[in-house]
Amino acid sequence: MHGACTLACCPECGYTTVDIGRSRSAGLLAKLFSSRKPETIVAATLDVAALGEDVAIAGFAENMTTGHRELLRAYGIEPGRMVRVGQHSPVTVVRVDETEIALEADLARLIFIGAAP
Amino acid sequence: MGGHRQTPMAGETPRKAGVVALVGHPNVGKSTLFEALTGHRVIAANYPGTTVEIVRAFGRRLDDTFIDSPGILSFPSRTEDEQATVRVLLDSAPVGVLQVGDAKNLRRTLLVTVQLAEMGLPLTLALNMADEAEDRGMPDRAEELSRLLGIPVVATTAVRGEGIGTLEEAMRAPRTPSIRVGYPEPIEAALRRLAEILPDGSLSERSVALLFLAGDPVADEWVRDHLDGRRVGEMVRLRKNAAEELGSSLSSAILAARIAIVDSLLADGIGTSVIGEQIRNRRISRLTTHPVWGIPLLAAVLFGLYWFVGVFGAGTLVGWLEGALFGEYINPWLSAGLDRIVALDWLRDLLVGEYGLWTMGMTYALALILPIVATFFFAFGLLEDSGYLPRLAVLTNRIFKAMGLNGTAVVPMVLGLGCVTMATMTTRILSSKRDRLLVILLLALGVPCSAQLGVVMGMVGGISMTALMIWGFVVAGVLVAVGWLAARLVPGDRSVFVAELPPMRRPPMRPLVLKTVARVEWYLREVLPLFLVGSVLLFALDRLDALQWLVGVAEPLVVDWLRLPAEAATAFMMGFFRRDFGATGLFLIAGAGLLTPLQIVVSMTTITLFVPCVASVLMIAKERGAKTAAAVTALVFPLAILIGGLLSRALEFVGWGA
Repeated sequence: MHGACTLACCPECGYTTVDIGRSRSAGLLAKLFSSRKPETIVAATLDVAALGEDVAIAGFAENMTTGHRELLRAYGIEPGRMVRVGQHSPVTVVRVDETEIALEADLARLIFIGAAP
Repeated sequence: MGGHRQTPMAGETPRKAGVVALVGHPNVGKSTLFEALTGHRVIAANYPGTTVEIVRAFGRRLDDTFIDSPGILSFPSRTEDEQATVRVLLDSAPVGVLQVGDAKNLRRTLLVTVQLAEMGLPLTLALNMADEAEDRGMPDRAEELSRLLGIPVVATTAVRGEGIGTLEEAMRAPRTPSIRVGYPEPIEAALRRLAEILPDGSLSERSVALLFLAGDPVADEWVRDHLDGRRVGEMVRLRKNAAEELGSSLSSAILAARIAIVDSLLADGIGTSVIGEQIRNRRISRLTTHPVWGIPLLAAVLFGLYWFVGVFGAGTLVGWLEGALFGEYINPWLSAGLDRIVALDWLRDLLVGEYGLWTMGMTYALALILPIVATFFFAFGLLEDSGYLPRLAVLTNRIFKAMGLNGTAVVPMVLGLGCVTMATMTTRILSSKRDRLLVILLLALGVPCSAQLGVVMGMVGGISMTALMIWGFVVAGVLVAVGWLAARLVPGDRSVFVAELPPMRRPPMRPLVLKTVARVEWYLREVLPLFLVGSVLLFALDRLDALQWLVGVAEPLVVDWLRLPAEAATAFMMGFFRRDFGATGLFLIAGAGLLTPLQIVVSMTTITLFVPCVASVLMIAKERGAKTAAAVTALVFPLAILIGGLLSRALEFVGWGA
């Protein structure tokens, strides 16, 4: 998919649909006309973790690139490790040991978290 | 704290002298330690990516040549500066490695240690910034680590010179670490076969094979340089087979095995810090990146910079030097003296005439540029050493996102305010070729270097804050618009923002002053010859009546399109040579009362959008090729003139500053 394209196309049958996560206008319309809240929350991600909380990294989303996965692991953000969430705006900032790492929401939402043990 | 010599190990023998590479994470104090070991001054600062090229120097007390390498997060290398470090290890035949680690981040430090251990080189580990670890209540773990790794480990605080003597002693007898990482069988099988194919080199065959399997571009290049096509093909086939057999990314599996070893080392009693409590510096850090409070703080920082460089440097200090010292004493005295002893008119003019070596070249460099760059470099060093610059990346990420970049681009852009040529080299810290190209274009287009910035602040700021804001908005607007457009034209996707934020620190005064002096010296060395050559060139053109002809050629653009007085054409001619040279010429024209406020804003905006200098064009050619340098130059000059003319008409239309 091209960087600016907001459509997702099935490579098998060619069916095209709007990728709500990439299209702001489609996302807004979907929110406006949504009659109920999602039934289940699949998993909590780092971009919505409570500020000041210690959270455990549970895993990475499948669509995270290998390069990003390895970069995060080299920084110490890896499954099983604890991080403290400092802020979410303008970007997410977490502390791992004694290092602060800043990462964009696009990447933070691909990191699954769990509660501190 | 305090460095201490580890107990000599059994079988420890003094090594032969040779090349010792300093390797470690970004921003752990490698350059500071390098300076302590060699006495060779390098610019160090509190943000990752300060060092982007290799520096060599001979040891002060050790008979070794030390190499200061750019920081590396882990192997394989991801960016061009990290690749420079891999090249050092592969090509410079080091007799040993000094790993510089962060004493308060043992886990990350050990991740690099296990990778260096695989290279089979004698290793010494300096646990630097030991003072910060102590401030956080962490115990000195050098001795435990030394026992576990089987290498000398010394706690140091390089910025204060603590532990350096002990480290030098320890480095006389480094050891090869006793750690061995085990990988999944498909990788191990491939490693055995690859080790048989690889030629002898300075690193162990296993480590080169690991770099190759993980897809390190430098290792790939090294293999292709050292083996024939058949063997390279065999290696590529082995890598492909191993990946297929493993069913996942080889580099990820290699990293996972290394992390597991680090975890087991930490479980063996070294331990690591728990997430500590809030300390004062962290609260300051939080404020600097706060979505609300970060903005007024940034405005205060910019205002402080403006006041110190624009008002104090370009106003008060330039007034004393150019107006009083040079204008009233040195230059009249020199002219009178030369009138008496030099009979030849042309020679007198060459020295103290309108385009004289002294009256133009030296006066521009010493009386106008020197106070501006000195105040700028001091203020800039203060920001660098405090750790504020990477926090700007957080605050500006959204702006750069609009330009198809990410906040990391702010580091070379801000460094460009010091010197665009240096900043062009710093683009190596960016992770993709596309990002580097875009930032180089923006640097060449609209980031004024310190000397020019000072002149702009002095001239435009001298009119009013509105004038300064017009200049700032137009230049920033052009940068954003060109960046936005270029990001859509240059192929490739935007890189997502991930960056390390170093701790906020109170900058120590001595290194700050030394750094400022070193930068000013470097700047004058670069500027002075160019200013002198520029003066001679203008003098020659003037004597041959070619200057008038050139000015005549430029006049339609300068007078008709930019609506500036004809005298400004000479300044623009100088601006082709160096942007700040031209800006200084405009400064003098404005000082003579020849420019209206509107014309000052137009001329300064136009010259800010010029290509910075000959040196920066050469640097672009070196970093990205001659074609890119030619394309950037061909784009920037006409665009600058176009924007200047449009701005002139827009300001006239609204009736501002006429």
